[in-house]
Amino acid sequence: MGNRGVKAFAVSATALSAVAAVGLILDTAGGGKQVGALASAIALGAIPSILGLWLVRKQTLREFRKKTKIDMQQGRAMVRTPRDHDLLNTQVLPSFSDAGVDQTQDFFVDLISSLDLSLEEKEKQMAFINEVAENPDLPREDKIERIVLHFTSEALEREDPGTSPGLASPG
Amino acid sequence: MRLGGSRCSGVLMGLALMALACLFVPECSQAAVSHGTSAHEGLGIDSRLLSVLIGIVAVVLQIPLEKAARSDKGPRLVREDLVWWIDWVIAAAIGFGVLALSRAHNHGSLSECQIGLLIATFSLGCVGLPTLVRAYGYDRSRQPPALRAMLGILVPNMVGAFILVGAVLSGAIQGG
Repeated sequence: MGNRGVKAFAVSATALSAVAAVGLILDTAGGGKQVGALASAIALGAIPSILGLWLVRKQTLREFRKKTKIDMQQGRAMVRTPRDHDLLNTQVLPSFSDAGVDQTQDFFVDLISSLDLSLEEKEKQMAFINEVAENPDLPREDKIERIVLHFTSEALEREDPGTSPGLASPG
Repeated sequence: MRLGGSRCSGVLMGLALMALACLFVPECSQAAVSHGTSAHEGLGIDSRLLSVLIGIVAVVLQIPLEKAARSDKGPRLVREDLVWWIDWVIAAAIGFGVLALSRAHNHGSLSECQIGLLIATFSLGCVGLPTLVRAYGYDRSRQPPALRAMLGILVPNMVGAFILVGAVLSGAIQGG
């Protein structure tokens, strides 16, 4: 079976399983309890997942902020090891992606404001953030990725130019 | 680490479920016999509530277990910790088994339609869900691939919750 066949099978099997499970809930709950049973299943699946995603995002961004602030103040790269690189790609970027462009913009504007940088440097960085965030030609994901990678590679360039571990500098 | 945590919480969930069954079932059986009520009524706890309770126990147990097993240097909570559908499908299988077996002497039974739905739910879920997550759950534009919020976490968890609630309700009926 080709890749497309596997994907079609995965979607069909999951959809049929979900439909069978809903049928089972409605059939076994009986009487007036059907709506309550279905609502319980929806609530069990949705509420902890949404709360969990919010909690993971909040915690990831708080830790990222703390680490980035220290690293930027000391002129170090946030991404120094393969583990940092993995963390950036698997946790930090998806968290910003879930948060959206506006929250990413606010996060970095707030971060830059809290750093001990010259007024000129702060204005330069904020202009970059606003320019990327308000660029109508860039897709949403690209905006977020450019802003985040700019600040993780900016610190790296200060310390040791030309040795970025695969993090593209913003164009 | 993720699989280790899941196995651990799966085992603990099974134990928690057995404890729940032992706590509620014996006295309810007596009540059912002496008062002539049905075993389903005699279970003492609503089967919908029981299924939600099992799901919540899985989540509540898993987070501290994952945190306790994790090195201090990494993040304390990661997106992979929210993959609860595996635990819920395991809990569904254990839940159905425990409830059906513990109440087998009450001669409850499922209709042919319900048995068919139960088999379809488990077999298609166990094959389809992991394949769905592998095919669509990761953003492969990044290296290593990142778990997507919608198709990697939310949708599989919703299907897992349906399987859990359906299996526990069936187990309660099968039990009598």
